[in-house]
Amino acid sequence: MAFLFYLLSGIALLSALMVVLSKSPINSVIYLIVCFLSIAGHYILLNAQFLAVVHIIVYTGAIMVVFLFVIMLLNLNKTNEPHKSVLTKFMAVISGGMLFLVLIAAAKGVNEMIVAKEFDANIGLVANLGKVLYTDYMIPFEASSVLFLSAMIGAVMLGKKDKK
Amino acid sequence: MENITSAIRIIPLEHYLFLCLALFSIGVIGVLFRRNTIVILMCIEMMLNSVNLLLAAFSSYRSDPSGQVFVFFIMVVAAAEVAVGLSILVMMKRNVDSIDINLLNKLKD
Amino acid sequence: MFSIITIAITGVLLLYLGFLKNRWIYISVAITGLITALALSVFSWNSLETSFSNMLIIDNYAIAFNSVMIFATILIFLLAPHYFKGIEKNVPEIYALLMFSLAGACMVTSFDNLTMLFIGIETMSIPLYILAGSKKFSIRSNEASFKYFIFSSLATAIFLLGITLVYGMVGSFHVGDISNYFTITKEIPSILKVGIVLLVISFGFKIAAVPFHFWAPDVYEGSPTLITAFMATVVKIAGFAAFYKLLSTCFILVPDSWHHLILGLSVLSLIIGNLAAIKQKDVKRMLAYSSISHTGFMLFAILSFNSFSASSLLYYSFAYALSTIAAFGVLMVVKNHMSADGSVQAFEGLAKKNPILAIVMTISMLSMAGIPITAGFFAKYYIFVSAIQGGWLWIVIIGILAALVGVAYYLKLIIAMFAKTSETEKIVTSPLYITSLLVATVLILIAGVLPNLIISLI
Repeated sequence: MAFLFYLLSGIALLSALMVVLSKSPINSVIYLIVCFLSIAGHYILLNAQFLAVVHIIVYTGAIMVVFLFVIMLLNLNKTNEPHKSVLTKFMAVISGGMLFLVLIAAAKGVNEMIVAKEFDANIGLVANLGKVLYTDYMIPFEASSVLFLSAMIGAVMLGKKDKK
Repeated sequence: MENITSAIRIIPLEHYLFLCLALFSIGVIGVLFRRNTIVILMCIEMMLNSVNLLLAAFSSYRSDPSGQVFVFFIMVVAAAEVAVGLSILVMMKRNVDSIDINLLNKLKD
Repeated sequence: MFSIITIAITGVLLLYLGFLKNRWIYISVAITGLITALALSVFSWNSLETSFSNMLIIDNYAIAFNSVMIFATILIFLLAPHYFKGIEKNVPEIYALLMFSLAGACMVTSFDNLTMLFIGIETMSIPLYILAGSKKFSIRSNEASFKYFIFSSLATAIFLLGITLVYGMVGSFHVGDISNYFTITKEIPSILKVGIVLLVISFGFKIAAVPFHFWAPDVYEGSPTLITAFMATVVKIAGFAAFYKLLSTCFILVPDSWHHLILGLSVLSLIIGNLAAIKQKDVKRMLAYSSISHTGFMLFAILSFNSFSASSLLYYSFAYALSTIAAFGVLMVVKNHMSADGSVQAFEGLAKKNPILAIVMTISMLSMAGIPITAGFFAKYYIFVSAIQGGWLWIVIIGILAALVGVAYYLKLIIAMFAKTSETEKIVTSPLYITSLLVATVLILIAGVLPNLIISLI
């Protein structure tokens, strides 16, 4: 079990790095899909089975496909992306690394903070999540419909081709 | 089911935290590192995903479903953001014929 | 709650009315809906409402801020028909998106659970990405939209990491549970402090505080002026109301984690906002930087936290919203009429042919500068008093110096309007448009003479 965790983590981190480093956007998309699939594996390890399924459907199935569509449709798959100056890249890596170090330093010793008495294996099942979502989280659920409606209007309004 | 539950017992929560923070930082580096806007968008998606994983981990270790429900809301927002973001990209591409972020400096004084 | 529902339903209704292709129907329905929402909001005063397992708590604090925001939106809608004259495309969609964004803003002020805060902020921001780019063929508008989108999504990711770390340590998204956790726990884990700092940083992005302000001038300049007015007023007020509420209810008991950060944000916003505003030639950009300096003043309320700071923040928001709307309202027509560049030169000699516009602009500038008998004076006064009560005397001195610097660039515009003469033509405006400007101006004066009307509310 532990082996599986470290394998999935390794895949996730490597593919995440490749998303940033690969030259062509199509490759980035493929690596991101790999990254997302390994995250789905993590969800299963964490007993969040429903989440794993939804994650695959939404991210890998919908969002990444939209990315691919846009890249293909607009013919954006150019590999001769002009690179930022070395200094900018250096600064980017340094600041990202600093952020990581600060976060890691703060995260040490978290294990002792959270003491779960007993694990409930059923919380990630659809029946349980559905109950919570449609009772306690009713209002945010309804409110997110407003959000989706405005995103839909926006996608149509901006994406439509109209004459000057 | 027994087997799977024990996975939570074997792996310390810290390791999940490290993994997620590393993914988040890679996302931040990607946003600063790249010029191709579509890759920047992907890096933001990656950051959101690392947060999702962390929430799911906390939720499982605490046996509290609200963390996993929050992940659904993040997915909703991520989907909406991608839809809007890509349509902005499409619109920009029509007008400027490039998605290089450095071309976006018409508004400097 | 009912006012939020009314706003959202009006938005949906506007989308359907788009088939009628009659711009007077859109505007009358929109304004009727907003007035109904305002009335519903005002009539629920003093009736504390918590709904659906403590997701929203609509107390007087929330009602007061919601009313200010709905009122500001009404004024913006009154300006809209004049702004959209000659533009046929997408007008009902733009109105509907403004409504949805306002609905999100109203959720943000009344959250009682971090889930609701997150959904509210996103409901407020996503329509704005679209609205900023609603001038589809203007490259500047595209750029503004894209910049706003990227920086806002980055802020969202940071915000989410903050929420997640808080949730991980506390075990709940509920505001009451979080504040309980801090009363019980003596030793706060460092990762939790990091989470709080991340939350503060992401709010710094949303309210455009230096050093997280760099998107604001570009976005304010590139977006259509009407949308900029909305962003600079409603969105900023909602951000502040949520920020204040988040820190005062959840994290007030956390020692030494965010106070220094807020202090830094405030001082830097005052200094950089004002200094950068002086050298701007474009009026819209100048107003953007002046809005950043107002952020610095408004952060004083968050810094001091006492019984007085919430009402001083409310009064400042009200005064700031009115003067900003009046300023952008005048800028809107001047920019359309005079050679369309919107620089200070375009305002030269405005007083001769268009005295009403010039007077409105003057009063709004005086209010922003904080000259007595305008609302801006008492806004600054109360916020300084609140800061002094909180024991921040030296920062008040910086604030006063910054306000003096501010007078310089506001006066520059006034002098250009009155003293200089150049050939200008009379600007034809519509009655609705003038009504909105006059209402804003009169209210600036009334609130400046009788500040107790608002300051004693919450």
